[in-house]
Amino acid sequence: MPIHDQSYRHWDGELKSHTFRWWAITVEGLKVLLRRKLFVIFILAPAIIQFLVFGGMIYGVNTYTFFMNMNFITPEFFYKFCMRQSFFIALICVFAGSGLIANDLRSNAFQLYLSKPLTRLDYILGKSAIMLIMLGFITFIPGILLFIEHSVLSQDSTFFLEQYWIFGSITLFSLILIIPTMSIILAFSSMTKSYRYSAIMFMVIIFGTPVIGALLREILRLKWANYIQYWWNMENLGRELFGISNTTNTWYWSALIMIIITVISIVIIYRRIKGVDIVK
Amino acid sequence: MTPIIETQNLSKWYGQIMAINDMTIKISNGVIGLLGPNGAGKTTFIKLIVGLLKPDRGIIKVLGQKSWNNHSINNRMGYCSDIDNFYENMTGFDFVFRLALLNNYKKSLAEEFALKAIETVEMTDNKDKKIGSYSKGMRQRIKLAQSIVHNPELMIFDEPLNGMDPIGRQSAIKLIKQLGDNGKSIIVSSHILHEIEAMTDNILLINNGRILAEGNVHEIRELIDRHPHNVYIDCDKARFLASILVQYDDIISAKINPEDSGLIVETIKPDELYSRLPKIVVENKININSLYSPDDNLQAVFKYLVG
Amino acid sequence: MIIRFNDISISYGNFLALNSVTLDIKGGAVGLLGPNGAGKTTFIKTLLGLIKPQSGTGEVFGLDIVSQKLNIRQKVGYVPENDCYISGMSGVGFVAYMGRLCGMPRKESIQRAHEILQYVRMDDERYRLIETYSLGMKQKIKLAQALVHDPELLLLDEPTVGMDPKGRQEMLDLVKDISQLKGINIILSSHLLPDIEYTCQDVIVLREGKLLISGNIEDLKSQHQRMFEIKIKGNEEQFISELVDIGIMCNKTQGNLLRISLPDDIETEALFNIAYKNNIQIRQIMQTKYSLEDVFSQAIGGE
Repeated sequence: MPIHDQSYRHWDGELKSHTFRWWAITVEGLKVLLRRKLFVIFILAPAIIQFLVFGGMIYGVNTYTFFMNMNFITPEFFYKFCMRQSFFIALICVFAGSGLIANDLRSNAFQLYLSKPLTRLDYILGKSAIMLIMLGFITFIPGILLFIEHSVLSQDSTFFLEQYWIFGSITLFSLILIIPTMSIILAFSSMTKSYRYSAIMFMVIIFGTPVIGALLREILRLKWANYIQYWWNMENLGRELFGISNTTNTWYWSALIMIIITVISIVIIYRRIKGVDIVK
Repeated sequence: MTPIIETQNLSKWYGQIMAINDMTIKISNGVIGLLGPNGAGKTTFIKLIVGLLKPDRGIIKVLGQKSWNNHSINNRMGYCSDIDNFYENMTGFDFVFRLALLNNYKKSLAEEFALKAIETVEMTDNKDKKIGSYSKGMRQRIKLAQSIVHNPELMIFDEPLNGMDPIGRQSAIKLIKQLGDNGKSIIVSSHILHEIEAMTDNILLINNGRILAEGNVHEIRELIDRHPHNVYIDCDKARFLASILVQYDDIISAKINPEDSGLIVETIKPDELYSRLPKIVVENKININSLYSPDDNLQAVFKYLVG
Repeated sequence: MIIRFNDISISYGNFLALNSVTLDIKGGAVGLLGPNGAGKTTFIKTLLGLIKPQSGTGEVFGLDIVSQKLNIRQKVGYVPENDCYISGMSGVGFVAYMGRLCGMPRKESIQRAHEILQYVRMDDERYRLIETYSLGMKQKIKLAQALVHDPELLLLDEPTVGMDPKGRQEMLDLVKDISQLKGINIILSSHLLPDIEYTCQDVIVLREGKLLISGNIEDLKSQHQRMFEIKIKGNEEQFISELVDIGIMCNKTQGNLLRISLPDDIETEALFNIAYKNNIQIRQIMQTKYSLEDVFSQAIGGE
């Protein structure tokens, strides 16, 4: 046949299995995110720079004898790193997370997603993984890298043997910082079609509750007012994990609060997605 | 008879985009189909007529007066836009009634007019339900009702049949034709050419902000002579008929259709062809099953002029 | 038999959307018609496995609509009516993404996306963000994403709404090509009967949740033997009176057409005799058929 058919051809290639179908959503979501130059320059880059600063400190401590005698790199060092990155966790949630589901609701994307062989769980997994990866990239990964850096560079050979548990603490604390926070932003994102509203609601919880809690504590002298503050709970748990807590037994309440927040958020997300009516 | 709408060198632009480009036209009463591809300037033109936009250059006069910022002619116009925005919590009747009140009618009169308009669009059974519960076709009907409730002289309907089911479309077409027969002026903008054809023969075709053609669609067709007229003839002696017809100068081609007994003749003077056809048929005892001109319609006019 | 519904009923709360619907669709191109609220949208949702029926069973390509909905969706492409897209993506990126959501490997999804976009005649626009597309382009993208995984059934919901005549014709020609030359089954839900007549062979009419009619369009349009619509130019009264003289009854319709019924023993030649004698032009002779519209109105009105 000298003249080839330029029109529609059938396709009978092999399909990939369903188990990692959600990964396509994640990859695409990350690509779209990283195309946003303002996001990369003003949020990701500073987060990475902070990591580099801490890395530099470790290097400096281990290389210059002036610092070596100071017991600078303690568990608290790693704890401080994680807590300082939490600022960027919040920013990433606001800029990357606020529209993740809201934009799909607004642009009627569910009509497309749900007419494909994709379950609602796939969708939620895919979207969550975007946040998890993005946030893990600035807390967990750099945290572990810092730990490894110091373990390798340290003149004190007992560091790793005695403080190996810091590895676990960094992992756990990263998850504690990431999971509730990303659940909250995804929950708000699923509740509205406007990424602006979800961002605002999120900021009320993240930045507003510390203010309200502090006011209640100072003005009304309420002892439990601290538990309202989002980051205070995080600090509580972090200190406990890194062995630097100064008050006893209050981390139970903080853990409970975080678990409740996460569960409520997940329930909200699931119910909102389930209820999307795709064909009018 | 004064034209209902009159423009002179009318121009309107948005930044660098030229929406209406030096349009001069007079529109008289009756039903007129406003056609054009997407982006041609139809919506801009309509908004200029209704007074929602001010001309950047030139004049537009509606019902004898300038349309921009002119409240005195507003109640003589009815506008059914293509946008689907309502007060979802109002009932259909409420909506039409309150819009009728805006014309300064007494409450009882507004009620009466609203009920009549609702009946005309066949929404009487649903008038007391909330608009939020209406289907698309029902919303469209209520929109139509509010545009005719005050019995305006000039009505402008932008895609009025959008979303209606076939039966609704038929009754709407009938209604529009009837309003035209009763002496109202109606401008209907639509993409569905065969529906415009069912409503009227008068069209205004615009593209790129300029007028391409105005008037009776058949006259326009006849003037488009770079596209000769096709006439389809289905008869028992197709080849024989073809051989006779090609002897005439105005016949450009005669094509035999291999699949049936039909013949497609291209002519630059259709009138001459039709004049001599009875004689040929009778003298040669040809039996014609069907005869029609497939491109003497709005679709062809549109295609040939817009491309 | 590509779709089989057996006594399917679906209600939303108190509202019965589909009422004991039993139907068989054997394939090809089928039009889906019905007044607003008839159950067409519910029907589509059921095919996509988005709703579980309260009673009855259904199969698409032999797959159960409740337990195998993901497999059904693998074989179905849906072209939604409403505006829908995913923000931040180019046309080709979007279509390829949709392919991956169906399980296509990455490289194949990209190659296939380009091929489909070529087929629907989208050139350089495919590299632009979808948010910048005109309405016609958005419709094409919707069609492309439904075809990327090579479905066996294409569901189109009002595919030509809002398009200008040229765009409509292009879309309908694509649908016709896909259905007739490429062998993909089509279900076209539309209010525009000419669209359905142009592209489909069969039709299903729903009303208030029930199946009213299902059948071949040509069969449903019975031919009125020997009824014609005539258009003339000339002395109309003379023409009509001479018709009556030879026994042909004649009505004038809207649009200046004459409707006549020819008795068995008279041919159209008689008309031309009269025209020749009186210097009248006959410009149109068409045998009238029931249109799909007549079928529809009779079906709906008859209940």
